[in-house]
Amino acid sequence: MNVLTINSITKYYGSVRALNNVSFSVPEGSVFGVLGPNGSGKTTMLGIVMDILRQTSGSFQFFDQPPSAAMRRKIGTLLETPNFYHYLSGEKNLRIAAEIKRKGFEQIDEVLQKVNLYSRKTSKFSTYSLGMKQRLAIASCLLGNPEVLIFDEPTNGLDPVGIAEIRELIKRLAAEGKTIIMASHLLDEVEKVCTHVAILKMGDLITAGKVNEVLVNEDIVEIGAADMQQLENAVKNMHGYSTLKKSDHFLQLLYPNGTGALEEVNKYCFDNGIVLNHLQLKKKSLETKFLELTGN
Amino acid sequence: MQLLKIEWLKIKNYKAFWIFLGLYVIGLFSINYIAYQFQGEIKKSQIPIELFPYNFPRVYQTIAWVSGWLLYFPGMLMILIISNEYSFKTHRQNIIDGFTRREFIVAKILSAIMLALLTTIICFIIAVSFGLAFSSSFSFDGIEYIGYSFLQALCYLFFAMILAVLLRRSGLAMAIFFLYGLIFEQLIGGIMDNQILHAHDFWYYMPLQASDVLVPITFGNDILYKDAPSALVLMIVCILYIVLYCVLSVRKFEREDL
Repeated sequence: MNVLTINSITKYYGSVRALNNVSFSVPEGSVFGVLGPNGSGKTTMLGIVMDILRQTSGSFQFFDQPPSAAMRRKIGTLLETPNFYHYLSGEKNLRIAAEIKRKGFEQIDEVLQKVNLYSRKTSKFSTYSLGMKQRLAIASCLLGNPEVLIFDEPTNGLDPVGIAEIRELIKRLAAEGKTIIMASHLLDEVEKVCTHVAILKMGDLITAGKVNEVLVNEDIVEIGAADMQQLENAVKNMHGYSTLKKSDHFLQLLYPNGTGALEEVNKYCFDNGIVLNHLQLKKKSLETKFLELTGN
Repeated sequence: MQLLKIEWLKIKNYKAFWIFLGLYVIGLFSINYIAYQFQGEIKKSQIPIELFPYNFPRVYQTIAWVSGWLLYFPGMLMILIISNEYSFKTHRQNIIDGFTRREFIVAKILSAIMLALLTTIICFIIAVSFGLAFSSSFSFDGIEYIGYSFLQALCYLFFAMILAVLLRRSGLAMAIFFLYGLIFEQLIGGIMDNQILHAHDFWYYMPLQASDVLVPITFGNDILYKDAPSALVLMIVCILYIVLYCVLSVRKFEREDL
């Protein structure tokens, strides 16, 4: 079953097209990254599925059913910025969220502890730092223990420790079998936590699918030997790789995804009288791939 | 009830709201006390006019009229609680958390009704206490003015609501609310009636004026508003405006990007 299905959604802000005929679906149990540079339409996309923006055309379904407020109550969502009443404490703000979600207040302490905000629960929201605000928003998402979570830039404004904590939390939630949809412009964030990814650029969907299929399509076998010239001459006659690249200290052999077998390379070189002093399989750098996909 | 409970959670610990509301209630008592003192001065000077009668049965009308001047303040509170949602973006968060768009705006409509009820109840209490203090017997005659002032409060509060929903920003909404109510309505009404229509056909039907004429100063019925429409017609006009504000607010909030 798909948790969320998006069918050719287009959104105009006046004459500016923010989304162009975007379709993809989020399978149950996945950690789904919506990746794209700033202004690519990520937040617009999530705003539409949360009913705070109206799409110009297209439709979407949650759990193969038309969207409703009752469904939103079962989804924990952090969209763009933490939105809370500035004059209320963190705890009082969560009471309002819990009341709207029709959940009891008894979970509030628990979710505050999960995000390490329990000790400041009676402080006013306006006194919180950006990171604390973000953590309160994540706590609010966890109310009612929802099966689906939507996070828009969840590590925004957090310090490195906070970022690591939130990533751990997301991994833990994913391990519990929850479906997580996460928008991000941070590539390594997506690489580190996501199983699936959709890439948006200027409102167009560039590609969508499993992270290891979309973001990595080439294996790089890096080799080195004492005599680099001899090595180069030897591997020139080897088959299987598409491109040979020379870097400062090593040779890089580019293989189609999944075909770079270290044993074979090692054996080939050894059979040709070369002993390797460096042999490493590298996945193509995500950043390179991302820039390639988004055409920058 | 669920909606009102959530609205209550939003304002329960909102200090600025309660200070403002407290000052408004004190203001209501005070302005009536000033009017009462003023009447006392008139009496002392042996002028045979009763501007502000504070005895039964006319006390209800006096208090409804005097208090009507302060309706801008609950109106400001209304603008404040709506524009707060916009500036904190909690109007979005409430929808994300599982309100329908209609529930959100209906909660605000219910809040307006609650505020109107509150001001009306306070006016009634003031009327009864002044009435009992300054007349020999208790009477419910003229109590319809308390009902009219409820309608007047609704007109002001829903007018404030539509301004806040349309403009989203509290400063702008409040400025327009005051300027329109105190100046531009009289200006536009005056120009229409005196320069264009040459009859009192327009002013009486304007958004706030319709409810103001429903609660005239005690001698107003005979002198100021001689050719005013009947109370029934004015009530219908007021109700039509209220319905219009509510329908427009709901439609705007349901259809647009938030």
